[in-house]
Parts: sequence; C-alpha cells; structure tokens
Amino acid sequence: MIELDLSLPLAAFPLQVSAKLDSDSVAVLGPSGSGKTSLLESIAGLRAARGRILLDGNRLLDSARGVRLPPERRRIGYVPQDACLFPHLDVRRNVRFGMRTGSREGTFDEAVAILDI
Amino acid sequence: MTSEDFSILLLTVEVATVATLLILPIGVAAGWLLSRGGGPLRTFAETVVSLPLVLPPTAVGILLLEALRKRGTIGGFLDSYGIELLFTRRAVVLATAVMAFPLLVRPARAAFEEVDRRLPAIARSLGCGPFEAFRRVTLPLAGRGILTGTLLAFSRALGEFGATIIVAGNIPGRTQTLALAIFQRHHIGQDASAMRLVWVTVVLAFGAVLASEIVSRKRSRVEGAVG
Amino acid sequence: MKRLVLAVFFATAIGAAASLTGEILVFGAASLSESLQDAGKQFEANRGGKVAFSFGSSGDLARQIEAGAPADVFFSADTARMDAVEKAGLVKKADRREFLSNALVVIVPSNSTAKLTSARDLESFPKIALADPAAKVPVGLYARQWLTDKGVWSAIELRIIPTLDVRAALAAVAAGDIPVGIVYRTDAAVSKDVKVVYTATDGPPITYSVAPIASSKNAAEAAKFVAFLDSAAGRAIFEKRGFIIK
Repeated sequence: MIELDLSLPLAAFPLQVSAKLDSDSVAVLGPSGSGKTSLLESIAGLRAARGRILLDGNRLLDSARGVRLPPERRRIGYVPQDACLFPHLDVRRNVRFGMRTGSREGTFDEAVAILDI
Repeated sequence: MTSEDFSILLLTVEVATVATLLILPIGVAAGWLLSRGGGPLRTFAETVVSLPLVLPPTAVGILLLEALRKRGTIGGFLDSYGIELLFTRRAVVLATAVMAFPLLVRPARAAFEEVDRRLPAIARSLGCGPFEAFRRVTLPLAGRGILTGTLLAFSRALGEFGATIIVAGNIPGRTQTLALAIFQRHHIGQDASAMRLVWVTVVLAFGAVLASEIVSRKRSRVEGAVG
Repeated sequence: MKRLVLAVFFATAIGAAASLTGEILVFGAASLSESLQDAGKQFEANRGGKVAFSFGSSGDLARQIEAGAPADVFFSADTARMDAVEKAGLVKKADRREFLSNALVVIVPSNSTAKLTSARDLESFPKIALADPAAKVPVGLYARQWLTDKGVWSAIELRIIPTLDVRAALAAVAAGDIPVGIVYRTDAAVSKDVKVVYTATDGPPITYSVAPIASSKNAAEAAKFVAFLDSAAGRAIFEKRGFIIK
C-alpha cells in the first residue's frame, strides 16, 4: 500500500495529492500538464516534493521528520513514456543494468522471459 | 632532425601531456557543472572559463606572473613551502594548462548537455548512487565529446607560446618547447634551423587535430536505435 | 624627356630637403638608454637637429641593421657586434669610436640578505638572470667570459635564466622573480630595487663601439652626433651616469 500526502511544485501550480493506494494496479488520469509524470517521479524519488510517502509502512519521504530516501534506496522501478533505454549499452547490458554482484542469475532469465525477447 | 631538436620535441610532448592530464578531471567536472546550472551565475562562470581563449596569451602570462611571483598571492604561499614555480618546467605546464583549459571544457559541457537527463535518473531508480549513475551512464554518453575536447586541448598545449615565455622564460633544456625554440632560433638569425622545427610542429599539430576530427565524427554504437 | 628630367629633379630635391631636416635614428645598447637620451637632448638644444632612439640588445640591433633597418648611428656594447656590421659593409672602420667602457656587477633584490665574496658564490643561487649569451648580447658574453676565466661557468651554466637584454635581467631581479643577476654597474644604478653585492674588477675588458651607418640618408648629421658623443661634453654625460671613459 502506498500512502501519499504530497505537495508538488509544478510549473503552473502546486499539486496537492492525498491518497491511499491499495490495489495491484492504479491508473492516474488527467489532462497534459496536470502533473501525472511529476507525481510518478516524486514517488520514485526522482523529483523533489514535500510531505509524506509511505510504501508498505516504509517512510520514503517525510518532510516533517527530515526523511528523504534517495531513489536508489526506494527500490521502485520507473519506466518513462518512451522506454528510455541506455543508448550506449546493448540489450543484454540494458537488462542486466540493475543487477548487483549478489543477484541471482535466474532474475535475468525471468526478465527475458517476461519481456519476450 | 638533430638530437637537440628531438629533445625539444620530447619536452614539448611531455609538457603537453602532463598539462592535459592535469586539466582532464577539472575540465570534465567544470563541463558537467556548467551543463547543469543556469542563470547569471552560469553565464559568468562560462565567460571566465572562456577568457584564455580570447585574451592575448601574453595577457594571460602577465596575470599568471603576478599571481606566481614571490610577492603574489599564489607565489607567496608556495614560497613559504620552498616551492618555486617561475622559470621552471612546472610553470610551462601551468601556463599550458590554463591556455588549453577552455578547449576541453566547452566540448565537455556540450557533450553533457546532450545527455538525456532522465537516463542517469533511471539509473538511480535501478539502484545506482549519484556517482555510480554518473560513471556508468552520464560519463560514457558524454565520452566522445570529452575525448574530442581532450585532443583539442592537447593540440593547443603543444603550441603554447605567449603565456609560457612570460612565466617560464626561454631556457634551453628546461622550459624551451618547440614554439619557444622556433622563436629563439629565428631571433638569433638561424632561420634554417627554425624552419626544421616549424615542420615538426606542423606534423604534430596535423596529427593531433586530425585525431580529434576523426573522434568527433565517429558514430556511436546505438545512436538513434531506440524506438 | 624634359618632363622626366624635371620629375627626377624635384624628387631628388624633395628627398634632399627631407634628409636635411630629417631626424637621425640612433640604435643603442639597452644599457645606454638614459645616457644616450641625455646626449640627444643636449645635441638637439645645441644644434636643433632631432634625435630618435631604438634601444635593445646589441645583438638584436646589429641583426636589424644588417637586415636593412634605417638606423643612422649604431652604439654597440661590444666591438664584435660592430665588427659584424662593418663586415656587412654598413660601417667604415675609420668612423668607429671606442671611448666607452663599463664594469660588470652582481646584483640582488634590495631586500635580499645574500652576499658574495667571489664569483664562486654564484653557485649558491638556484637561478641567475643574465642577458642571453647565445643571442650574442654583449653583457652575456662578457659575463660568460668572466665566469669561464674564473672556472665557475660550467657549474652555474644550467642555472642561467636567459633574458632578451640587460634591462630584462635587471627587471627580473628588481621584481624579486630571480634572486641574483649580472648586469653593468650603470644598469644597477638605474634601479632602486636592486643592490650591488659584487663588482667584477677582474672581468674581461669591456669596450663599447659607436659609428655612423655609412649608407644612412642622414650621414652628415649622424657623423656630427657621433663626434658630439666623443667630445668632452659628450663624454661628461656618460661619466655622470657611471660609465668609464677609456
């Protein structure tokens, strides 16, 4: 479950979001410029915001307590609209990019199977 | 080419190499910083960095001399540690580094600007810390521009004269680079001997600039492949 | 035909008139900067003819004259540079005057505590400012001769910071950029930022040489100026500045 209580500064206005997201999939809809991408970036930690983000009880962001986890510690995968692969790496290296020395080899095979490549 | 000519060539290449290696980390860092900032501060910083490109080299030499002499800001500080810079090979390296610096920073900055900002961000979301994201994503993607700038800076370093002769003097065997030796030989009327060195510099400069051109034109592996 | 003769006549007449009222250009060794300018002022006051100067290393000046520079008088800090100009046919042996001499001194910045008791003490300095002997600057050649005679040259040769002329060496020591230098005694007198710590009384003989340039357009004026320099009044000007009269 994701708990949000955010204030996001956007170009035109500050976006306030208060929600508890409980489902497997959530769709965020709105006209362009309304802050959909910015919201996702804030949850992933790629954009500054003020307020609170809790993920399954873990504090990713809590401005009141000075908590702000950097993106690499949030363990949230983020896929932008246009896929955004690393152009300097081949497909194999792109898929393996997030793997660390301790990772299971099986993870790679699973990802390849899911992606059907 | 005489053996004296050859040692002058070696000295020149050595100094240019050291100077280029010296400015490489600083220039890359400066290029990255300039690619990120905005506003009047960035414009000011860009202008200062570009000054050695536009100022007469002798003017840069005088500014360095003022700073490096014993009563100067940097010179006084170094003197208290017994370090002398003026009229040494170190002064040649320093003058050369200053003059070559903008030639590295500007292409580096342009190269960083061309890197899609989202890519290092995605690397962060995949578990990379800020330095790791820079090392694995930003830096390789800016690599070609940085290499072009490095080769350009090296070419410039090979030919530096105005600032060098002021802070390092024209001392055979110690600070006399190809450019300074050409001047000395011409000055005392040894034109044929000066001409030999001129040809050496032509070949050297041609090679360095050619390498930089080739690198800047080479297409990267997956350019435009993402769809 | 008549028009051509008239044209040539007028051109020559105008040329001659220009030379008569023309100023003479004196190429002088850098060490003579103040004394020659003093002499020039006195010469102008007495005779009304204007004098202009170009100062530099005698080696440079000789090369320029050989290359065709429009000098009317050459005042060199050694006879060898004058020999070169004479060999090029630009100066007549009979016109040469060699009445001026100088002394070599070792200088340090005025706030320096360094001392010298002999030429050998130069070995204690990491850098020594000296006008470049390789560029045939006379003071550099004199100093090299002196130090070779003393057996010191090979030890200090690599510490020499060669400068373009004697005043550049003086300036470097005066600014404190180089801890010691060798110049003429008359140069040391010009700057209050240096002091003399040793005088080379046993140095090689120093002989300046002055002559009008034979091919100059102002040959008559040039000869008069050289004669003035060699006169009692002229010599007094140099003596006042610390030069030695032979």
